[in-house]
Amino acid sequence: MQVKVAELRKINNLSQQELADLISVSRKTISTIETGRFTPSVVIALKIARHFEQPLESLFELETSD
Amino acid sequence: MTNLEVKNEEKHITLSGWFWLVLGTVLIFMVINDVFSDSANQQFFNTGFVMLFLGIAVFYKIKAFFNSKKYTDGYQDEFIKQVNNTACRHALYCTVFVIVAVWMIGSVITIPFTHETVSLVYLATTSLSYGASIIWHNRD
Repeated sequence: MQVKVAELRKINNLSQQELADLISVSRKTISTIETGRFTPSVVIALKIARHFEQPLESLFELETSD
Repeated sequence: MTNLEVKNEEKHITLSGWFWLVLGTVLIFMVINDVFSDSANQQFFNTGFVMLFLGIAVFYKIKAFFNSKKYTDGYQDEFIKQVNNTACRHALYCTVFVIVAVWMIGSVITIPFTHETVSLVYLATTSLSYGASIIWHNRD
């Protein structure tokens, strides 16, 4: 799965900690989502999408191998 | 869940990992010392340490999860909860593996292990696997 959270976060000039605080998760959650080591629940994914005002599909994209 | 609670959980899981890893290492050293030393007081010392270990573990868990909701529900943050669950699973697998290994090859080993030493081996395995798993999965 391709994750574009890091790109959007940088565009919005947010640190991992700031984004984590905004959606009430730990910084490690954001860090591991960005590196692809952790697949978030729908709730967290929707919170991130809502914060950036983007559709969910633009943040997480399935690859052909998925 | 407030941001302060999330930060506390994050801090706690990191400390927890190091705590169990260090404890496991100390226990391993105790097992090695126990195997190669021939002291009459060793058995008393080991039994005392196992009791102390249980005391520290219980005290630590109560102090760490200081309110009752946290104590019963565990971690709330999704990622931290997953790390903790994975670490518990790893600790269980490792301990069962060592118990089965001791059961199967225990009679072949020529070193005279006492029950206290073997209990230390089990505790060390559980502590090390739990701590190492947390530290590994909690990395950036």
